[in-house]
Amino acid sequence: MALEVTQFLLNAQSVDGATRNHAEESLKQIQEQNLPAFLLSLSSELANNNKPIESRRLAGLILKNALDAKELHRKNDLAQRWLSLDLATKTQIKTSLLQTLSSPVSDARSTASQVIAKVAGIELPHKQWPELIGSLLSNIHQVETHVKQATLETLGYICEEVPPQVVDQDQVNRILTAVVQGMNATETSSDVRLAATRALYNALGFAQANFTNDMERDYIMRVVCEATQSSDVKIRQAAFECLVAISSTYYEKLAQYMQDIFNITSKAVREDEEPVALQAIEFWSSICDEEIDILDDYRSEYTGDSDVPCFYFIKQALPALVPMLLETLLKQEEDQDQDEGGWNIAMAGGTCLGLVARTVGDDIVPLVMPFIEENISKPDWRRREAATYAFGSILEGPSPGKLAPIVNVALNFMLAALARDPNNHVKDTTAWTLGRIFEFLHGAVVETSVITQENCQQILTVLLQSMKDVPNVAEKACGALYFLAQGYEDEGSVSPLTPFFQDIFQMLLYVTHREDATESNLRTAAYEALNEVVRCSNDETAPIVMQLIPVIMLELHQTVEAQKLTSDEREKQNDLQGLLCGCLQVIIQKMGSIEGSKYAFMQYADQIMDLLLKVFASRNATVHEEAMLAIGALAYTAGPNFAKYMPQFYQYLEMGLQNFEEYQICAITVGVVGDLCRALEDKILPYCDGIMTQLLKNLSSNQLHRSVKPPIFSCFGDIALAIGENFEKYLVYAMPMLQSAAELSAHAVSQDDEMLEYTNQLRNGILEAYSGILQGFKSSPKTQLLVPYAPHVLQFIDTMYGGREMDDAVMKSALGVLGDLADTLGSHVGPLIRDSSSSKDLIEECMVYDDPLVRESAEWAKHAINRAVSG
Amino acid sequence: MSAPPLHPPQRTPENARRKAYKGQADVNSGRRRRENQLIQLRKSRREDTLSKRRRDDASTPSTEPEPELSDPPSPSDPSPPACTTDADSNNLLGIINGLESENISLQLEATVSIRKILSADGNSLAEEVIRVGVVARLVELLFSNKNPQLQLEAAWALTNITAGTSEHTEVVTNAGAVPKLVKLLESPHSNVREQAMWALGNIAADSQRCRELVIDHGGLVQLLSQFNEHAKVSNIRMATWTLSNLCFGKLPSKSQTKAVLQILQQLLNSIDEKILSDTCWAISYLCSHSTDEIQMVIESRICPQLVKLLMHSSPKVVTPVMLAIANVSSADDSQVQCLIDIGLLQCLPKLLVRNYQKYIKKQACMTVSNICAGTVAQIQAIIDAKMVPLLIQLSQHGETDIKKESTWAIANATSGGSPEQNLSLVGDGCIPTLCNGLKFCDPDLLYACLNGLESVLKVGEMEKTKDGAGMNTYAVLIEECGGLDKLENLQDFDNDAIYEKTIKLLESYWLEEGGESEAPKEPSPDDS
Repeated sequence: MALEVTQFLLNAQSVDGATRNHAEESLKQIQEQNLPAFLLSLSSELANNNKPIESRRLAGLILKNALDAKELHRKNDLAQRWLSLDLATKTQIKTSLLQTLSSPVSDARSTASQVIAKVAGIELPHKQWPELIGSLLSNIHQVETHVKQATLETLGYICEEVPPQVVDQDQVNRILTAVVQGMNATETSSDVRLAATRALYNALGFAQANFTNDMERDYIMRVVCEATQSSDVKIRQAAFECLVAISSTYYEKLAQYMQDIFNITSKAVREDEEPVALQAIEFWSSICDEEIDILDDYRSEYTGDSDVPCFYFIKQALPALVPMLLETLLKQEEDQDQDEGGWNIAMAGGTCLGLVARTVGDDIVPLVMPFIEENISKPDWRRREAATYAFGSILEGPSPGKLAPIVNVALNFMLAALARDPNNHVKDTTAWTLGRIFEFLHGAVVETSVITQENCQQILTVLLQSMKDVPNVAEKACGALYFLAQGYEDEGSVSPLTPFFQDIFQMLLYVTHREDATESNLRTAAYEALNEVVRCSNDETAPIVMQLIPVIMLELHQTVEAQKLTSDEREKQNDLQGLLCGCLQVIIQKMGSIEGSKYAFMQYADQIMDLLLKVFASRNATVHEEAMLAIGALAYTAGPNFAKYMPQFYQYLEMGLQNFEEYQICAITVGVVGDLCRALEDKILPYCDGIMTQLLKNLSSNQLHRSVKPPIFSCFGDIALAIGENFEKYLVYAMPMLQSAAELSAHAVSQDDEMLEYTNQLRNGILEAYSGILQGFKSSPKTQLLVPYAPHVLQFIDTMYGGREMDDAVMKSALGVLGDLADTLGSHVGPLIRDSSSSKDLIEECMVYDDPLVRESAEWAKHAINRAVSG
Repeated sequence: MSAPPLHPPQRTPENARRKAYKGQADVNSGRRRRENQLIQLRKSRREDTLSKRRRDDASTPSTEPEPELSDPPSPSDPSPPACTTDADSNNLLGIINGLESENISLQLEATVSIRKILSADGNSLAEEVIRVGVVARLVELLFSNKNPQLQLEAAWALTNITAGTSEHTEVVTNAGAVPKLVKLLESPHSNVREQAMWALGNIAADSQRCRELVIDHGGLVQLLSQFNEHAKVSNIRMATWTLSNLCFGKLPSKSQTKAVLQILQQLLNSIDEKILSDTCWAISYLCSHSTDEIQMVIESRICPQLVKLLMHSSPKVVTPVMLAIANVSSADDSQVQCLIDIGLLQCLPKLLVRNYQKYIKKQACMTVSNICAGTVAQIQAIIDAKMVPLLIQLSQHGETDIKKESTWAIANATSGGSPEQNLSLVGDGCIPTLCNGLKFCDPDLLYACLNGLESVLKVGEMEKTKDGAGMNTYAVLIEECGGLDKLENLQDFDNDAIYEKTIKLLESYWLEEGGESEAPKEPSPDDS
């Protein structure tokens, strides 16, 4: 009962708005009235070679969107919806799709490939459509190359869509055989070979077993390496992409192929077309990533060793690899620093050089220094830039001891180049290199900074001067200033920046006002630098920071007042508002933390709050986040005085808590509720009904991103601490919620690190809630209300402790809760705690922790329990 | 709406690399950083609020062990100060005036205030107190022999300052506090002596220089005299703790070490957990310096009691005991033998199977592996104690550290074991452990495993000739559990010794196979 949808599909792409809207509306109606029939029509439209390609393509797209979506909960809904369709419909749709793979129209084939993969993504994990792989593989022996090509493409997409464990090894073997055969040099059609190579890229994740088998691995590697020599550039590129993927997935299997791969890649880097050369470089960057990870694992004593040993490929290849990368640096494009999306061999080569430096450390320095010395003063700008870029690239990795003597010599040269080199590109790279010097050879991380009281003034003069240069150079100068300031963040009252604060602020504000400040992220860089300088201010410079407040407020005021903007202007406005709110947040936090300036700061609080409330009128998510963060900071500084802002602010707080879509806003707002609790204490009581209702709603929603849930539990604790026994009326709602979450998280089996981390966050949130509630009720006549919950809380801790997967934070929180139970409930729970399976061991274990704070709380908890037991 | 052709997925990490290029300013990362700062702040404020509540109860003892002030005169207010810190800093000027005054009761009041400020809120206030220069005055007040309460309070305040950073401690030592505190150890008032010990303990904990300073001023001698039958338990506890801090560094002379060991030997019989724990820490520190000191520890006959304490119920005691024993086990064979002779091997398996903390288990494993590195007889002792199956189990299922240590033990046992011992080790399943050991990256451990495998293979070679089957069954076993692959991978390992050893093994036992597997083969040339 297929419906005729061709005309709607064509009209939906009409240039005429009315026609288009009408068609879209009709399609939607059909979909709502009879989904199976609609999907059926779409699939037969796609399969029908007599239909125009435009309608077929759109039919495929709508079909695909009916199967898959980006948001997880919607994706699940769609999958459920598909699974619940009647079998006959699904079979018919799938038959049409498979049929389309033989269509002479390549667009139709390719669209069908992707839709098939989406259906497979839903059905295979449910053990449905078992014949799919088999029937696709039978296509492989077709004579017609276009069918072969489409089939391989489909196999590739399926591998991308479906988790490896869903396909059994036998089928994997057959897929790989088909794919690798398609890649073979004997395959005459380059379309087929390309499709096969791309399919292998996706299928690599399935090849775990095959890569452990020497013969099979050798064969796959040989075919991939041969494909890198194909006469078709697309095949070469796809083959190198496979090598890159193999380098990270099967790093530990590569040893015997490295010599060959080095030869292949270095030839490609030197001679091949750019897209291929870029992948060849990427291979080495990817190897660096692997080795950096492994070596990091070695260094961190407690996480133990990595399962994969380091083969030190980079170290071994170093003498040949470094010259190859240095050559690439000379292949710059004229305006690459102004081109924000650009990516070329020189950029990729320098990036790789930086990774190599991080992998091998000191060893790289002698290999790069001659190149720098030879080229840094050449008349050809390319040579000067390449030398500078090489220098900047190796500043992370080698030890400060190795680099400092070189940098001490180079610093003046760099400053002179930034001030006077005639070439923008050279100046850009020079400013960036200075930033890297400050990042890695200055500040608390190094023993002796390369910056001294003496050269600091000269550095600042040059940096500030460069902020007037073209946007990309000015942006790098701001970045360099950022790192320079960061180095003084922990310093006491003497910072060599102190005398220059006024000049620095003046110049940075000038930069933010430049006409061209939106180019090269210049404005953002200037505000980030400004924030960093504020962060490193102290008693002495606080008055200068204070002068910034009216300036920033005025600017924010102007953005709030601005009317009638074009959408482009609106976007810039949003960016600016976000930056200004961020800047205010940093200032508020800093001024609030310096005893002497807090009082002076507070005179601005009313105006700042007024402005921030106006900012909420903006409908931009980022701006909301920034304003919310600033308000959190303000609450801390204002303390109980913040109460007077609550009547106007509350609606925005509620709005934030309701924002499931932009869950970051929701998360930040939950945090701000905690800030308010600590600032207002019991003055938050009038707002608690609303807040608690919303928080409980959030917890029961499966639309809200899970990362927001642990902070919501912690927030319960914050509220209870603030309002004490008034929390009573929320107990009946909050406690069952905590109990069921505790139940879940205590028994959670964590398959991977990410899940384990989340489980521990959740546990921590729950424990913080319990602590807050218990301590909130302490010394209240109503404590006995909590007694019935104690057995469950103890059981929660017992189960977690027995499972042995608690991280230190959870351990600490659990320790606290044990003490809190005893401290608040006393003799009501004393025997219960004493008899619990974990309490004694947990406390004993904490008594010998390295962290004295943990030992201290253990001591406290033990006392509290002893008293509870004896009393 | 126009339907774009569906695009294949983005394949390259180009975007990520491009973003990292020259680390461009990025609004989002700036915001995340600001958010994280706020989250950190939030976390610490939450903890502050909670810990304030937790202490907000007069009946709750403060978390630091306050000296008992039963001796007259008794302090007016033993509970932690309730006043806010703001008020304190405003009062600071008044306090300094009181401190400087000649009036004893004003001095006392001021000293009490200082002490409270210091115990109330950690370092920020300590900075302020130190900055206003009261330390020198507090040191002077230690001399008020006529007023023990004032001495106590002054010592207490100094104790709190020395609990801070090294700079804080340095201010105190520079003000000449050490000789005066040592002098106070002669005070007739036990609470004053106790407080002085506490301060000295804090100072000794700071650095080797500080420890030497205390010892040079006769602190050790005075401290040892505190251990007498008239001393109160709380005094002994404090003295033991302070003594353990002094033992952290090497003591200047053998006679001092001897004197300390004499006291420690007596203390090991205490039933007080705290005293026991600190005693054992002191012993473990002494054992960490040199084999000479280990020899003195052995001669002082404290080892038997030490081994008994391994079965103590509290990890606070077991942890330092285990550490001490692990340290002794790293000494020479005869010293290790002493441990075996007193029955160490009967205790260790219990530590390994029970649910002890990882740290204790790790030290226990390390001790076993040290013993396995000893003589053939010592290896036999390990086998007789039925520890091998246990070690093999741990090497497969333990936590990573434990895996490593137990692998060490097996590698040591096989490398140094006799052919008969190796037969028994293989029977217990040591081959998979050794093969798995090849995936560790610590070159020393790798080398040890290679040595172990070599040893096992030699025995396999001997067995081959015996039963005439013509197969080195151990080589087959190694191959079956993936050891051969691992050996082949090791050829690329960047370490000459490991490379050579690997090649030697491969060439001696595998390479010629395949083609001429029937032909009898000579064991590798350097076999004897």
